[in-house]
Amino acid sequence: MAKGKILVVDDEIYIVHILDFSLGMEGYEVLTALDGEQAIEKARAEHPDLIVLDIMMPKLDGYETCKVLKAGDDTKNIPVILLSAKGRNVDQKIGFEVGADDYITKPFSPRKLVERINALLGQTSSNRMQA
Amino acid sequence: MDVALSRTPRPGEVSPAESLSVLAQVLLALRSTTDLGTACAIAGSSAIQMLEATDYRLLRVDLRSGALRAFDESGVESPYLAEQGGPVERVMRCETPTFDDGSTDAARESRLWLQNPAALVTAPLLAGGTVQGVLLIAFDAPRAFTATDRLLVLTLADALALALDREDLRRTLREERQRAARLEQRVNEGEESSSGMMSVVAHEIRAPLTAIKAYTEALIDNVSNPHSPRERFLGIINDECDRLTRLVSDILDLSRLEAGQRPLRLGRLNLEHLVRETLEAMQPMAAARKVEFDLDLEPSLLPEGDPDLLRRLLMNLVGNAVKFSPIGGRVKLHARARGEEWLGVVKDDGPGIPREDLPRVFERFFRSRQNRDQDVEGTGLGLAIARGIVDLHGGRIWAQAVEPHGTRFCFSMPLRQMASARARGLARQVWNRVDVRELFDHTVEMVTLALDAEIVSLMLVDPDQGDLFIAASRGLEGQSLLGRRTSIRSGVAGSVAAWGQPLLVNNIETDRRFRRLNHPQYRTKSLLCAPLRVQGEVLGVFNVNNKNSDVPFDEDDLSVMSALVERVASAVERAIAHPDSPRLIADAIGAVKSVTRLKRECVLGGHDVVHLARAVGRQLELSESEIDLLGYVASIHDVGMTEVPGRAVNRPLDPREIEELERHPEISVEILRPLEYMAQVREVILGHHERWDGSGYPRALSGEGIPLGSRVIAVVDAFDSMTRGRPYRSPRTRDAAIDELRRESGRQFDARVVEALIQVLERQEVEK
Repeated sequence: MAKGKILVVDDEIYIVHILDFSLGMEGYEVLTALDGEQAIEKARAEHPDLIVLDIMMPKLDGYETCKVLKAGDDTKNIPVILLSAKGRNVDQKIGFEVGADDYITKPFSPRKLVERINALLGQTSSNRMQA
Repeated sequence: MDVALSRTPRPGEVSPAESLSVLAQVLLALRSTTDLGTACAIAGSSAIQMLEATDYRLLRVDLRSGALRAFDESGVESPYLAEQGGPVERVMRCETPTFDDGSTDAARESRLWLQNPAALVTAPLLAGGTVQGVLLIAFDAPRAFTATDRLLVLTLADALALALDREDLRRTLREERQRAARLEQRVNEGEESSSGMMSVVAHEIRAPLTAIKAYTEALIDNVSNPHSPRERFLGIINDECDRLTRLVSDILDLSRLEAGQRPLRLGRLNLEHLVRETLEAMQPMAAARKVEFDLDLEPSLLPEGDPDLLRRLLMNLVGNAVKFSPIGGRVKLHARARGEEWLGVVKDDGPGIPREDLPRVFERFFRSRQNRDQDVEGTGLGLAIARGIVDLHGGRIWAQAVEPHGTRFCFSMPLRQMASARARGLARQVWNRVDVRELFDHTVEMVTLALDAEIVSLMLVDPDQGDLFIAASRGLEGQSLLGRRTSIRSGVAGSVAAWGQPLLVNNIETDRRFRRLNHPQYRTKSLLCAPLRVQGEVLGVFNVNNKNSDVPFDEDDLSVMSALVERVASAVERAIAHPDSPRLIADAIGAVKSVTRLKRECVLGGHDVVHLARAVGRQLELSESEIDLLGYVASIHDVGMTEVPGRAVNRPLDPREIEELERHPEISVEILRPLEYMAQVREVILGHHERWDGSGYPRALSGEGIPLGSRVIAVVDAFDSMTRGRPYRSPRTRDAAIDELRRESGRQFDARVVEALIQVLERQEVEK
């Protein structure tokens, strides 16, 4: 039985592949999307437990995608980790303003990403139980 | 319109009171108006009214060429050359008005009038110590001029001259402001684009790094995991390393291309050969996508270009075409000659680029939407590099959409890297004149001595072949000059000819634009190169190699050299504009020879004086152009000394000799007149022996009334003379010289300038 369902969104296919592998090894079920529009579709259809979202993408970028997700009733409770090559403070600030739950800069360690995911999912699970 | 003409005489008696009131109105109009055309019209018609004249003309001195220009009623100016022995020439020389009452049959400038006037007033318009123009008032009958008439004319001429001068100042100010604004804008844009570029580059580099990092960590974490796809991960890491390498090398290539203004390694290329070679190299990539090539190349097309760069250009364009072609698509290549250019086209039948993106595809890291949807690898710099290569060849590149789908990349560049048709035409005019050729030869001699150089050559545009050949040289004796030719854009001289900017190379072996190793001509590895620009076209290039003292050339040398070459160029410009006036070149040759003599005989105006004068200018926070002017004047202001008898005697001078000596500033100005187009230069030279307290010569100016440049030259000259010594006086120490300058502060010298020099000297001491 999978630990949870995670949607990975990045326009760099190699990054999607490696996250698929790493999270798969951790026991997660992994869904993938290559741009923001696809991501919103899949989030609505599949209700993942967490979304890893790249910022610099064509069509709809990560910020916009995050805003849409956090505004949708059926998607607003899904935790989002933003993933981007941008590492400046101002980007982090925008990230949290659009409602992201965490932020990791590229190049990143897949191991650390898995730790954050575990933490976030643990946190939300306990929150849910309290509710 | 600068000048208005009036042909409407106003007959009738004019009383002195009326004259006075008219004059007052004119002065008021000239003082308050900003529209000079209107003001001049008022002045002209008033002159006619007050003096009962029939006609008038106003000639204006063009500040760059020194030529006179006449203006017609519609404000169109045409060059006007004073007739030899005519009143205008006389007035320009003597700077005093003539009142020709018609009693003699004197010449009256027949070119100006339909009918020769019977009497004529010719008045110089003097302001700021220079002639701004000439006012002519014509009468149809002989006329005796009264003292009042003369006073009226002089007053009017004064007011007009001031108005002209003021308009000049205003225009200069406006130009300077615009220049400053442009510079500021360029600096801002440069900063913005370079910081923008940095963040884009950082992002582009981080993408492959992210993949490498992630896959490496995955490998490490799964060393004992039999299910981890190790080979595939290692393959991806390897690919991403390659991508990073390509990106870094593209960034470097592009930065080299964009450093610009660098020479090409030119050759005549067999284009068909070059294309086939390139396609061969791309075959594996094309085969993978089953893409085929169609070639349509004009046979025996042999353009001139840099083979490595052209190969790279084709590689980038064809590589793109293949990447965007559908599987089994066709990429078409055309090339053909078109006039003096050749046109290359690379066409694909891929999905095409949205029209609004077409002009932007040559920007660095620009990716079209369509491009991003596809999984196409590339650094995002290929087309920026292609544009850089085409630019360097003097060509242009553009992209077009193809119906129903696909993209066509076209570029055109010169078949031969040669000077423009206009430059060739001007070069022919110049080269056909024996006197101009002689001027060039004397100029090379002057530059050799002025810069203390071992080798100087002038390369001129060949009117027929459009390349550069050695037209005059010093220090190349005994070496074959035949075949020493260079194409435009090739080598140091060729790139200066192409870009038109003077160039200082500190070390030819390490300068990344040139990298010439062990060339015997570059003994000191340092060289100067300045364009000879006539009517906006570069007609040749002065090359200066090897300072005899073995120290490298510096910015001061470059500035003096540019100033000298510019003056010779302006003399040539004038000679071309006035082909029937052979004295222009003869006079310029005289001036060049005098400067040569100054440099050969005297130690005056050497590099130290130039260097100090420029440094003091910088200390006083003068503008770059003022500093250049200061350095130039420092190097030539004592040219008048070459005409002073007894200048080299080994004893103090007697009073008669001193009197002759004190004329040398005026003699300098006189000697340089045929070369000098800037009134400011003449003023600075003339004032360099004035003293702050008013006891100097020739005009006994005082304080701020002495041009600042003159005050600087005076201080620097004195310091140089004291520390160097004179034949009859042993040198003083630096400190003793400074003490003396301090003592004379506020008496002989401007205290502010003395202070600036002392600061410069102190800084030099620290730097030592």
